[in-house]
Amino acid sequence: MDIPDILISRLEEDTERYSGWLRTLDPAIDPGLMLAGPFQSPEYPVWPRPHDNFHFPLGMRKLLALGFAGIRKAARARAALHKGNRKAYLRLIERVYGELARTADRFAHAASAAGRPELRRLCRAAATRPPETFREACQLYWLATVFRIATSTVGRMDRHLWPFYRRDLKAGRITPEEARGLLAELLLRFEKRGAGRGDTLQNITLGGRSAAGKDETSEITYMILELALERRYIEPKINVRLHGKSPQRLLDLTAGLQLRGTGICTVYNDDTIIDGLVRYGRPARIAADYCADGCTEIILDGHGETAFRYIDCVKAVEHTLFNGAENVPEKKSLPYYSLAQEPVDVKPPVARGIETGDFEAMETFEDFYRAYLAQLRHQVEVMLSAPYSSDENPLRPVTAATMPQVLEKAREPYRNRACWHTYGLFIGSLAAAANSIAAVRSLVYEKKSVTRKALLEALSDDFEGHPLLRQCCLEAPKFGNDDDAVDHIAADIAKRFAAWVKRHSDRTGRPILPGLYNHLFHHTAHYVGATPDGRAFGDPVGEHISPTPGTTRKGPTAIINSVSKIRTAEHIFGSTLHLNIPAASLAGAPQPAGILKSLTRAFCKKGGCVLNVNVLDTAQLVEAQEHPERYRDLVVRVWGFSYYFVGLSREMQDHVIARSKEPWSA
Amino acid sequence: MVGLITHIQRFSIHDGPGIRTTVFFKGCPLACRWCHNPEAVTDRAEVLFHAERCAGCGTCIGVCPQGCFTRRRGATSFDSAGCDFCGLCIEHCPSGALAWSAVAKSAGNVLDEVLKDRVFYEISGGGMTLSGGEPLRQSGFCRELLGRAKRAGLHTALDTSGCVPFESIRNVLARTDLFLYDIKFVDSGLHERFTGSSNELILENFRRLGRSGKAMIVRIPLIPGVTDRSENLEGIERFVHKYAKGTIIEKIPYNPLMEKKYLMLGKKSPIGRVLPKRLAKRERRSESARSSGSEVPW
Repeated sequence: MDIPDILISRLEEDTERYSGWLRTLDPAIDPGLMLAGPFQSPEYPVWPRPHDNFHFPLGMRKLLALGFAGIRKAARARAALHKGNRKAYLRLIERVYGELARTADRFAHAASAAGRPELRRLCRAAATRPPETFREACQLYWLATVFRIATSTVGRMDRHLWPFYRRDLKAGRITPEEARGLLAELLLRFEKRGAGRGDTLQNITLGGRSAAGKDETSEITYMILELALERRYIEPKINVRLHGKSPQRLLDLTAGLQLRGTGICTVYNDDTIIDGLVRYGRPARIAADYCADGCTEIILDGHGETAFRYIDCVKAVEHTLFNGAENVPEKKSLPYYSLAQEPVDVKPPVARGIETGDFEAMETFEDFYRAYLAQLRHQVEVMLSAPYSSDENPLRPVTAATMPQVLEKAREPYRNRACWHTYGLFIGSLAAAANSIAAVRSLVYEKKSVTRKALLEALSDDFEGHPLLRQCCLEAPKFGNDDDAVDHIAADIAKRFAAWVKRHSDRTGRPILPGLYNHLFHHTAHYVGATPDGRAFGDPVGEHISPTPGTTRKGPTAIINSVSKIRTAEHIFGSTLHLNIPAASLAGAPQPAGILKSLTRAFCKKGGCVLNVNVLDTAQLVEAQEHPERYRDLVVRVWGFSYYFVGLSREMQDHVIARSKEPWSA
Repeated sequence: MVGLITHIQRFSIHDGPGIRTTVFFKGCPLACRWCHNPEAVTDRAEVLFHAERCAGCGTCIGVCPQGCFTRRRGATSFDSAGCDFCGLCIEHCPSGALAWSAVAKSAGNVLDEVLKDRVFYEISGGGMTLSGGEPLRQSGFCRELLGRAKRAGLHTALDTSGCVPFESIRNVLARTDLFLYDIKFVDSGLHERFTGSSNELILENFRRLGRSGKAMIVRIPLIPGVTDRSENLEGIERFVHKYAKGTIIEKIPYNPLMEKKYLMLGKKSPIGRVLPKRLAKRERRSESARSSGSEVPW
C-alpha cells in the first residue's frame, strides 16, 4: 500500500516548519542541574497540523534503543530499498532525526562552553549514538520530551529506564542515590514544564505485570513513587498499574499518594484491562504494555497513536422526552476549566436527536426505553460516520518513526497493522442518564404518581414552581447506591453502547474502542436542561463512570458495587471512577491509608478498570472559594488531571464542591 | 424472629477493625444526656422528619390527627410531643421526607444487606458490628444474627453499654469476636446523674467479660467538661487494666452533629443542658464550621 501524495506534501511542509522551530531552542545550560535541556519549549508557530494531539507517548523504548542518530541511520538505510512516496517518507524521517541530532549537539557545545565536560559527553551521546548508561538515557529522555513541542503523556517511565539502571548497577557504574538524584531531576523538570497549567497531559505510568503475569515493578518504580510522595509536585500525574500479585510496598506507596487527597494518583487494574484489551484483539504481549494517555484513558505505550470522540447519554434522555428537540433554558458560555481561559459557547456533540415520537404517547416503559436507545444509537452513528485518522492530517515523522515497523516496512502508521492505535468513542454522563430513566420508570410507569404531561411541564420550567415533583424525582433510585433498579439500567446502556461501537472499525480494520468517560461534564451540565433525576439546568453531571455528585447515600463500598455491575472490561478505552471520600469520614480512623488500600484492592478484585481516589473537605473548599489567597496550594482532581482549586473556573469549583458533599458523610 | 433496626451503615471504619457494616439497634437502657444516636433510644419506632427532603406541600399538616406539624415561615415544622405513632403522615408524605426511625427486619434480611460488602471485609479484615442503642436489649435477635454471620465467615463485633443482664452477654459470647465496651464514668453518682442509671451492673459485667478472656476494646465518649476530666479518664483506665489487662481504650470524640438528629425527631436539642453554656456555644459553632476536631489527612 503506497503513501498518498497529500500525506507527503503535508509532512514536507511540517518538517520544514518543525526544523525551523528546533533551531529556535535555546541550549542554555543551568549550572544547578545535572542534565541539559530547557523546561519549556518555545511556542510552535501553528497549532500542530500534521497531527499530534500529545495524548500518546513517544515510542520511548525504540528511541532509547536507537537514539536520534540511530533512527536517522535506519531511515536512510531503508530508504535505499524503496521507491516513490515510501522512499520520500523515510527521507523525511531521516531529515527530521538529523535535525534532532544536530539540536542535541548544540546542547553539547553549550555544555562545553559552560565548562561542563561530563554534561557535554551526555549530550554528545544523545546526538551520536544510543544511550549506554542510565545517565545518558535520562538525558535523551528529557531532550526527546522537550523536542516534542508541547507537554505530552510519557508512558511507562519505570519500564523505559529500568534496563539502564539495572545494567549500571551491575557494572558498578551508579549508586541508588545517584539514580534517585537523576529521577528527582526528571520529576522536577516535568513539574516545571507543566508549570501549574493543569491539563498538561503529562502522565507517567508505573508498575504493572507482563502478559505471563510476572510483576514488573522495579526499584525505579519505588524511587519515582517515593519522590512523588516527598516532593508534593502536581506534575507529572502518577498512574499506577496494580494486579493481584502487586507487591505490598507498591500498594502502600499508592495509598500514601491517594491519602494526600489531591487525586494526583490514579490506579489501573491490570487483571481487567489486559484481559479486556485481548478481547479487543490486542496480542497479550502488547496489551500488557498499556499505559495512561494524556488523561486516564488506556492506550498502548509506544505502539500507536490515539484519538477520541464523545457523546452524551443524558442528552439522549432529553431528546427522547422532547422528540428529538433540546430543552435548554439558555445558551451558556463557559471556560474550558480554568479561570484564566476565555469562555466558549458550550454545545453538545450532537445537539439534535431524531424524532422518536411524543413522550406523552409512550404508554409503557418499554416504549420509552426503546425510544431512548434509538436516540443514543443515533448519536453513536453520527459520531462514527467519519474516520478518525486522515491523510490530510498525518502523524508527524518525529513521533511516527518511533512506532513499530514504520522504519522497517516503510509504512506510515495509519496504514500499518504493526501499529496498535487506540481510537475510541466515549459516552459520558452515564449516571445522570440511568438516574433519569430510573426516575421515569419509577414515577411515571410504576408508581404512576407523576403524569407524563406533568413531568414534561416541570422539565420545561426547569422545575420552577414544581418543588414537590422535583423532590419526588430526587428521591427516585440513584446510581452509586448499590441499587439494582438503577444500576442495571446503567449496565444495560453501557452494554448496548459497547456493542454498537464495536461494529465500527478504524483504517487498520480494528474495532473502535468504547469508553465510559467525559471530560467536559461541567459543560454537559449547562447544555442539558432539567432531567427527570431531579437535576435542574446547571446542576452537576457526574464524570466518567462516577455517580452524579451529591446523590450517594451509602458510601464508597456501595459506589464500587454499583460500578462493578457494569462490565467495564468492555469499555476498554477507559472507565474511570472518581471516588470522593469526605475528609471528615476518614478523620479519626485508625489507619486511613489502610482503608484506602483496601478500597483500591476491592475495586480491582471486583473487576473495576480505573480508580481515582479524592479526599475532599467541603468546608475547606467553600472557604477556598471565598478566600482563594489562603488556599493557593490546594490541589483537586478535575478530569484526567489535578489542578489548583482556586485556579478553576467557578463552575468547575462548584462541581468539585458538589462531589465533596455526599450525604453519607454527614 | 425480627429485630428493630434503625439503620445499617456501610463503610463503617470507626467501629472495629477494617471496613465494616454496622447494624444499629433500636432501644437503650441508658438516657445519656449527650446521646448522639437519639433516634435509637426508645424501644419503639418514632417518626423521623428529614427537613432537607421536604417540599413544603403541607400534606402532613392535613393528615396528622395530633397536630404535630405546623407551618413556620413557609417551611414545615415538626414537634413530636403529641405523636401517637399512627404513621398517617409517613404514609401520605409524597416526597419521602418522613420515615420511621426503625424498621423490623429478619436476621436473614439484615445479613443479606451486610453481605453485599463481603469483599471489602475480606480484604480489609473488617466485618459486621452491632451497635445502637443497645443491641443486647434484643439479645435473642443478636444471637441469631451473629450466628448467621459467623456461619457466613464474617468477623463480628458488638458495641454494648454493658447495662444489660449478664445473661444477655453470655447469650452471644461465643458468636462475638470482639466486644466494644462503652464506659462513661467510674463514679456511680456521676453515672446516674448523666445517664439516668448507676454503673454497678456495667462494671460488674465488665469484670465478668474480662475474666472470659474475650477480645475487647473499651470506648469512652469524650464529652467536654463531663467525661473528659482527667480523674475520670484515669479512673476508667485503672479499672479497665485491673480487670482486663492490656485492653485497648479508645476515646471517641464528641459528635457535634447530633443536634440535627434531635430536630429530625421533633425534639429540642439537649445540648444546652449537657454542657456549660460557653461550651455549648462553641460546639454549635464548630457544628456549622464542620471542620473542628477533624484531622484533615493531608
